[in-house]
Amino acid sequence: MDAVMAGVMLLVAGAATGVVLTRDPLRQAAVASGLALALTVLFALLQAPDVAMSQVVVGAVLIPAMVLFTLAKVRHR
Amino acid sequence: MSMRVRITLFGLALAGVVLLAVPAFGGLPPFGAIDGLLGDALVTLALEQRATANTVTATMFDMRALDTLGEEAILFAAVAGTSLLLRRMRQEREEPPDYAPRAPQTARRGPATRVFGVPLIGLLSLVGLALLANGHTSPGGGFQGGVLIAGALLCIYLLHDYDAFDALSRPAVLEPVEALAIAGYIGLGVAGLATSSAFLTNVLPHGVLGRLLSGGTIPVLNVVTGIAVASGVGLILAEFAEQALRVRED
Repeated sequence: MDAVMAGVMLLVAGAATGVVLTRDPLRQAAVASGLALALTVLFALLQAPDVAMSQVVVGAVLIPAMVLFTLAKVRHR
Repeated sequence: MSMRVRITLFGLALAGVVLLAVPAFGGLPPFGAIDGLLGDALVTLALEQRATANTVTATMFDMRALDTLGEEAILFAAVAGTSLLLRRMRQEREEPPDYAPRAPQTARRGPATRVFGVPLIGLLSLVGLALLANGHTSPGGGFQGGVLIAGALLCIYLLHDYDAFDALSRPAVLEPVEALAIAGYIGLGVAGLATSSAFLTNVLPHGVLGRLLSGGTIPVLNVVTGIAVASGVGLILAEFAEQALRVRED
């Protein structure tokens, strides 16, 4: 466990805590996108590049997009 | 139960978890130092007998290809479930995309966004296709390239306008593509049955390590999986976008 690995793990822990502490769903989607990016760095560091490639698209682009579409539908009522 | 009692209980539970987790994590072997026979066997099999450099892709599309067919069935079920849940109900009505309350979200984006955005869409699609095609020689594969192409499809809505996204992603276009891709996967499996004696056997010539056409059926299965994933995720996004931008209750 060297400094880089410990730093990235702390970054993931901080991003996840930030997602939980963000109350507004619109902002939470953006912070969740940041968490997905941190997880991608962690996976790449742990020598799992295939998982990292899937995670960066699904977690940072597709899931926040679905959350935002849902919010647009619900709030326009 | 008051807040103070809840926090006390949480503190006790957290202390117990930490007391158990610290010796557990400390007793693990160092990263990468496992003695696993199956891992070594898979690497030897992928490298020497299938001529692929990416053991993960070789395992997913050759040694355990049946499990990947199950994963595609999961994606198919998710798309079917989304289409079923978001079908048009009797009290809803589908408007054209530019009807007044939603018009800013579906309108064509400004020139600056389009000048930098449209080449980005092409770049994302090319990178996705490259990941898809080279899945057996470098990290990547069918799923990774497929979701990236679906991301490029979403960027058409984000960076251009909704009409172009709708023309490419409506169910009449994408549903046959997804169905044909999954049928292609099953067809390659049946080809294994026809020549050898097992479903999804690697029946094409294995080629030379590092070439684009190596690994037998692995690159072909990569391509059909990528097409299925891209069209499936595109369908889900199209359903969500249609609900948010065009469906209105009476």
